[in-house]
Amino acid sequence: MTGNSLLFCQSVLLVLGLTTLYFAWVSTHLMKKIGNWVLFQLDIVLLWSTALSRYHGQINPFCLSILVVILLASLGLLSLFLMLALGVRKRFGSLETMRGLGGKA
Amino acid sequence: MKDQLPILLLTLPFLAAALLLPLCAASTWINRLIVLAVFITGWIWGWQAWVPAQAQEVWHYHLGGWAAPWGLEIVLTPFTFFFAGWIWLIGMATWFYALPHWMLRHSESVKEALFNVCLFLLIGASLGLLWFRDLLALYLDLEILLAAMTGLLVVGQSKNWREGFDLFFRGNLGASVFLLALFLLYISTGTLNLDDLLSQVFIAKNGTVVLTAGILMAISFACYFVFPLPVFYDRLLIQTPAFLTGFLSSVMTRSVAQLFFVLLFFALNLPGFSAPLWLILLEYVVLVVFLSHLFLGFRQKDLLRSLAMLSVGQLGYLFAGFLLGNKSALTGALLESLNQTLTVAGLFYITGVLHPSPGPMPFSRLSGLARQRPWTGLAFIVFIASIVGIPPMGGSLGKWYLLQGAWEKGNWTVAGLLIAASLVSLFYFVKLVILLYEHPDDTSPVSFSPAMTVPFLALALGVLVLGVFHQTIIQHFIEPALPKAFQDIPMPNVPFLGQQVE
Repeated sequence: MTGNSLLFCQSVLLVLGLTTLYFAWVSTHLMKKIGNWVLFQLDIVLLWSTALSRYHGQINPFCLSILVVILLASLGLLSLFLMLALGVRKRFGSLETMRGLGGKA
Repeated sequence: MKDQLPILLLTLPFLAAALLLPLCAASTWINRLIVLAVFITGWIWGWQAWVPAQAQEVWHYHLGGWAAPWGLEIVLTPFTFFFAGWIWLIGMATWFYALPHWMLRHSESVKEALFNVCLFLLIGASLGLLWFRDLLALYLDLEILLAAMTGLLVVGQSKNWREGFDLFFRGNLGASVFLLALFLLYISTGTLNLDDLLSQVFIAKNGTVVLTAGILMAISFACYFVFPLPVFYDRLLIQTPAFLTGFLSSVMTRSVAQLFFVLLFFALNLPGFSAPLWLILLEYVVLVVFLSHLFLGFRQKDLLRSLAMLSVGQLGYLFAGFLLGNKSALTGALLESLNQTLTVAGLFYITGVLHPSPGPMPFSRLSGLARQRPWTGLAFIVFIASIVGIPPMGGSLGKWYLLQGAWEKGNWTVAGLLIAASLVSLFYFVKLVILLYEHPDDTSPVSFSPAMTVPFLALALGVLVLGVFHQTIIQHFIEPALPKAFQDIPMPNVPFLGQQVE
């Protein structure tokens, strides 16, 4: 991939990531929030993966190990998110946050 | 074994958490004994590491012998070592204050064990923020900190599920933005080690990358800096036991602020880089917003909300130091950081002792406190006096150095803001002292065990020690923690003490 097309891909990923970040922030349903966060995290993983073959077309082992660590951490965080959402549903019987953009109840 | 002490000290809380987790269902007393043993072990190992840490000034430890930037590096400076001691002390005090909370809930022994697991995870993550020099490790550490913090809030008060989710969600968005900043730095420099990053940034001289990464990092830490501001965390603040809020806003927020300092001055410090005008204006706006919370905090009618605002407002002093960026200002910011860790925790602990069950607490509960409980009243005055900046409290010297920094730089705006913040605080301090020494209202006598005063009295003593022995602390702990460019510049005088700081 040439430098310009790589930069284009990274820019598109960045814009998509920021869009999912916005939707994650404004949504009031916990599962929608989690879904958008997953997309944002996935977007960042994809951004990191664009740096994999930066050095003369070879796979960069340092970057690869970072990718693996981020993926594993994201899975752990996702499970924590789901546990918290389940706790909220069990206690309040709803997955709505009752909070809008301004954070007011 | 002495050579391995940095990694042993860092992993001790994590090992304790791993040990306590399978023992959740075991006897409560076994769990408590293990917790106590771990805290004592930490002090012993800390004592053993103290001499080599001081002798080396900066102790570089490479995990598994792998040198940076390929391996994981831990760096202990006397300052971060001192700070870690504070964290360990406050962690221990939090565990102590949590004991009566759990004793009232006999049937919740599993929750108590989980609480201790989260407590150790949070302590370990805070130590990691102070000692790690690798950005990926710092990202993972931030995530552990967040998970432990959420765990503490949910386990400590079962009403907090929704608030816990909110906090975890906001923190995670911030951590993801931090990851984005890491990506930007990595593709620009090819490294994630802080020292290596500094040299690569210096070689590349790419101001745009430094600016963008710095802004992304500031955004990612915002969630931690505004904790526990009532605008965002009002229900959480009211529902959570005060000792827990105090622990989190003291240890967690100040550890993240310390990380922010390291990132700004040890990784993104590009020589000759001049910030654009809009960024300078934005920095001043942030400074005013934070410092204005001191004023708002003193005007609150509810003590918990007031303390939350004071905790956040005090961060303005640290940001003022970072904004000024000269030796005196950074010295003041680091001294303030040590002081704020104690004052915030101490004030919340006193509130928790006076008002053990979660819920709003009107200021009128403080009426006549100093007459009924002189030592508690005195500790309260010491903490508030330190926030205001009255000598010889630790906070007074921190603020003096900040003012000195503003004076040296000719930045009258920051100097004016600092003076205004202290004058406004002084006005309310006088009102508060009058309230504390009022004749008590007989309908609400204050009753608690004298043992409960020991931790916050120890913290109040710490605030006094910071002020009285500030020369030694600056010389041996703070100066080695400053950027190298500042280490040979003589320190300014402290006129009102009539002494020269070496």
